[in-house]
Amino acid sequence: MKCPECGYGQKYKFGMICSSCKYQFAIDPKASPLTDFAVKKTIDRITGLDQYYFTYFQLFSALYRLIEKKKTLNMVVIFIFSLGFTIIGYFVSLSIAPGMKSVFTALIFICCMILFLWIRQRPLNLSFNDIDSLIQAYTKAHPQEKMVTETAFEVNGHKNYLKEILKHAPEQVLITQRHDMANMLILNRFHTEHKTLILSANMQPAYIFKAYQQIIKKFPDTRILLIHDASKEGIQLKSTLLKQTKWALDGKTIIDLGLHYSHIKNLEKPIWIPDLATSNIILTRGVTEDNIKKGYRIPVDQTFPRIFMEHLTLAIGIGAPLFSDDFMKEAIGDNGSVLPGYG
Amino acid sequence: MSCLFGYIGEPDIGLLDRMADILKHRCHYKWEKTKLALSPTHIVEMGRGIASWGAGTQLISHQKQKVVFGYSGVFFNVPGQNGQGLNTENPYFQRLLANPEMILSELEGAFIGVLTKGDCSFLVRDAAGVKVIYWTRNKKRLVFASEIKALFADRLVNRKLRTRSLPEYLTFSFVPGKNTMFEDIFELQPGNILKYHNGVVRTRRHFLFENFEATHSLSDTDFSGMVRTDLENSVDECCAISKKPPAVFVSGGIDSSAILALTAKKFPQMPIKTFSIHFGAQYANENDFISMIVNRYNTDHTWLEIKPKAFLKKMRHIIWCLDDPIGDPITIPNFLIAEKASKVADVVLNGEGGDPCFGGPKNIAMLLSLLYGPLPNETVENYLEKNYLLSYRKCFSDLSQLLNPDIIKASGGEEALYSIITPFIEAKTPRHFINKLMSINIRLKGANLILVKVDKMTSANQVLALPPLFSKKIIETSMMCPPELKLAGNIEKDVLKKAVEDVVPSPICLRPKSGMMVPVKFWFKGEMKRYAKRILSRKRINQLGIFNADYVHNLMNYDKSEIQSYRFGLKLWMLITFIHWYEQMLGE
Repeated sequence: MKCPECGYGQKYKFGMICSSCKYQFAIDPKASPLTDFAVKKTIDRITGLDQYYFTYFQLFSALYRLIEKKKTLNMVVIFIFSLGFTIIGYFVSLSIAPGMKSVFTALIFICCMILFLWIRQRPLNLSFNDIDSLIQAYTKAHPQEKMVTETAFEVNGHKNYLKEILKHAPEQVLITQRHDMANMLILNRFHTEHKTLILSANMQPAYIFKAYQQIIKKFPDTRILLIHDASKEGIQLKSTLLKQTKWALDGKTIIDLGLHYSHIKNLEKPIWIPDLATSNIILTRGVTEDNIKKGYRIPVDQTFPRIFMEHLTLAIGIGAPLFSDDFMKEAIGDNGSVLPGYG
Repeated sequence: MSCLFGYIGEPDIGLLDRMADILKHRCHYKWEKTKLALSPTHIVEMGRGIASWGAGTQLISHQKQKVVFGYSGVFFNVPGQNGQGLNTENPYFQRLLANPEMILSELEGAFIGVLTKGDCSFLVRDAAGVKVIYWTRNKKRLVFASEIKALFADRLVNRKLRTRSLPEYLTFSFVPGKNTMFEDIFELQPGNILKYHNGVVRTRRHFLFENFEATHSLSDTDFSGMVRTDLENSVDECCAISKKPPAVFVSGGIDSSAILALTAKKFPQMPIKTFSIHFGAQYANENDFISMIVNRYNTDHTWLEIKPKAFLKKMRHIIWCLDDPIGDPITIPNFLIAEKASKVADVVLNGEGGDPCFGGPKNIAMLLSLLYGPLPNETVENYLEKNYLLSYRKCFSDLSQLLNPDIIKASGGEEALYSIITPFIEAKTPRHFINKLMSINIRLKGANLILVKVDKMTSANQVLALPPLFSKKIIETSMMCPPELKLAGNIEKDVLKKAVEDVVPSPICLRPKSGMMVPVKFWFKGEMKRYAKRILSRKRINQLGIFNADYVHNLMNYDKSEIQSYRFGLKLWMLITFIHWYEQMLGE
């Protein structure tokens, strides 16, 4: 087990505390698809070496893709072995049945390929709990300051200037379905970078919601944007907010940036998270309607914070939902094929 | 376009000539000089590069009266000066001699000046800082010049890097305030007078525009009308400088469009020469808006496409002309467009000043910082300062990784940077937060970045650049305007837009603010990749001993790096600018 702190190669039999630097290993490599080292490196990549805050789902998605990548690497190994067996089979057939060498070799090759393809198409047999428990174990042993939670932080705005502040308006208001999403964006300073008032659908931060109410009353034409997961609750977010009179959104133009189910087709490999209370299987490239019925959802923030914010910036700038055809045209152009950060 | 240089104190034979030689890139039309000997050990020698558009001397001395006065630039409120030369008979000059400090503080225009009367000398810079003057003092004399490099002609002036300037440069892209990149060399701030008497230097700020903030409601005042009148007067003043109409630099934004519109109105029969830049059809540009305004006023327009192959060979020289490093990529287009314009014009007008005076892009961002307050990871103290520094979007968040730790420690860390902003935030006037931001923008970004780079880049091409939107009167009026007229809801510069809506096409008035997006990110992926690798080689970086070579290397390999740094193109540009500057100014 490689120590993420000092790089020492700790032997498993010597226990879960690094003999060199006393680092406490949180994950048992024999019981988990990943190691402490891999998780730490993933967090470093997500945070850009401690630059960015991230959400639980951003970490979850990154770890899942890492495991999937390992599986792909294993496929390459299997393919090389298959080729190797075929070549060995060819030479063996030369001595056993030289007249049948072509048939024999072809049979070995076909069998290997069938085996290869069968293994490849099998879904990654990982449950939500497999990755969740990994995250829980790691973050319990090594708390991550940069991982945001659903808890609303207290906003202590400059009350002396409040009257002056409310004489002006942001360029737009962004309402997020989940509060950890709002936290992530605020802590990464998306609100100041893009002159956007950010708050969550559960009216947090409360102080900001009060400011929102006054701003929207005074400047009713302020642009309103929504962002949500591709989930039952997400697609209903707009109608939910319209019903809540405190938001005063009736009659206003609301730009729903998604994530919409209809735009998922433009993603290479979206990750479907199961309904936490029930199913424990994670699918990718699944059929949309079936997944929805089963209660699955695609978190909108399933890529690194920096990339996610770049995408969000683009979506806000062009006023097009995330991963819609208009969005994709701007994001990757006519010659691009894959949106970076997904798959 | 012109320059001023000289010294006050013990004579140094040949010093003035050496200074003129260093500034010859600004003295294409030769230079004039004057001398006043007050005693064998106390003389004043002054030189001025002669401009193509001005006529007559701008230096005078009178041995009997023990007076010498010289200036570079233009005055707007000195009757009969511009174009006719100085003379001691002028009543204004007599008033100046009678009460130097007061009259110097009343001067309006785009200028730097030096006056010696007896054993007392004054240096002065105009209200906004359109022209710039640097000074230093050693045991023998006070030396001054339009550019820092000329000060080194005095062998007693040391070239020593001011360590604290390094994080300042990386945070702001320039060195803010009175300091420069060198120890003991200072930039006289706009609206300031320096008094030198008996070897003692004292500076005093006389242009206190913050005091113009309205203390009571002025709801009946037609502010947009006031702005319009002030702007027309300012354009008139600028147009009166030269016999032929000025050229205008246009960017497609409201500011330069307004200047063009009002200039064109003054010369209805003559097509104004206009210039704009772009970076090629494949990059975002403002050409549609530019076309809109130049077609409306039937100008004689020149489009200048800027590509790396056009400037890479000149880049080192351009940075040398900048004098103190400025890490803004727009400096190169500034130089190239001035070079182009110099062939047909000696005076150009630009739209600089619109943002600092009427609404900058930082306003809403800072209001949101104020609203959200310090974030959970921030301390209450200095959070506004921190947010302001972050709003520059340069290398503030990279300092600890980019700079050598010894330098960060020696420079005072982040606290030293906060201390630059704190006085503005805590000042009693102006009271309104938007006006506080305006004050910071005018006195830092305007004075030490925008106007300085324009002055250096245009002067190197013998062109006088004038910003009508940065006149003293405009600054005063804009401070008087209530903040909600400058930022109306989320509409920046609303009062200015209303002031010119009859002369500027409405799509330009209504368009959101868009900065000049120099495509450095793409250049460093393509045409400038090899160039960057050469200038920022590990060997060079390590020899410098200032930057972390690994971090620079990561910036260079943005496509492979795990860090994927934000705005890496701009950061690379800033580093390259610094290295070129360092090698030329502090020795290779």
